[in-house]
Amino acid sequence: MTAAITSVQLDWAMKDGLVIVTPRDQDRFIFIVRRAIEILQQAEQAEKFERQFNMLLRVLAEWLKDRTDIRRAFLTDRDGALAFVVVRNSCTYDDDFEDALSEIDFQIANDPDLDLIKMDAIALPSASESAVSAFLDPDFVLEYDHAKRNGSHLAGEQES
Amino acid sequence: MPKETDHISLANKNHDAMMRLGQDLDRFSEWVAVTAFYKALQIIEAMFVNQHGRCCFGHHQRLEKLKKGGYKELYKHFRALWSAASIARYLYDSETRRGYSSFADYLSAEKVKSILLKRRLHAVECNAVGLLSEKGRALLIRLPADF
Repeated sequence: MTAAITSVQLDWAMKDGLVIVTPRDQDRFIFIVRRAIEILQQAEQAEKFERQFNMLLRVLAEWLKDRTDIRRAFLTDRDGALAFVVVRNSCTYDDDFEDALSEIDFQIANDPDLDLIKMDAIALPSASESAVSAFLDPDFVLEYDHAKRNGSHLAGEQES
Repeated sequence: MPKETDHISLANKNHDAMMRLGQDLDRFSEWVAVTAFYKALQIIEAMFVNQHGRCCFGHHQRLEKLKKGGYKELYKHFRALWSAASIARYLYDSETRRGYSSFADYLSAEKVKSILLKRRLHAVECNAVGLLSEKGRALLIRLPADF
């Protein structure tokens, strides 16, 4: 039995030079934002957190938009923080990619406009949905519609 | 709370395990990656105790303190080790075997040595050693120069 990933898809597009991110299922998205508020213990600043969370989604989309080496990209939670999980096109480790991911993670952590956001980032090699699901909280998965942009497919569909 | 030297002792235990496992790198490459990460973790903890008087609780808090504390180089190399160790421990597919099927697909034994140890772990050691006390520095077993 393989574990299918159930996620809220994030559509995104460029408009006037800015990235616009739109959750496909707004009701489930609101549920996930509330869960993020609980996990990061931001109930007292919920409104501010929500604004920052939406800004985070745009910052991540901006980073993703020019990358052709990523197959899938998720935002989930792990160890009491948000986790930006990207699945690369390749199976092999890439030193430059790791440094690029560290750079965006470092920038977000030190962005004063994102001071309520606690997030870590991890890159996974190209792997099956079942394997990737071990890194995702089934109750909290946002997925950027990245595959549609670069025309890539799930690992198994392309390589089997 | 553990002292700086306690963390150094734990780093050295991980170093010892890493070197022993590294004698059969083809067989134990993922566990070399894991012990390299835990060695780095203990070095970071020792550094935090020496610099700030306290250690961290949990992976996120540690990464966050590195990021927000201005330890950019340490963070960059430590995150790469954390990521590789996470993949070594948690990425597994016994069913479909599509894409990634074993840690060796991701990092060959040779690259575990040349990238994770000689580049990433070495950089953590070099960046952290100046932030340890004199006693901590003296106790820490580092990767051999001819490694």
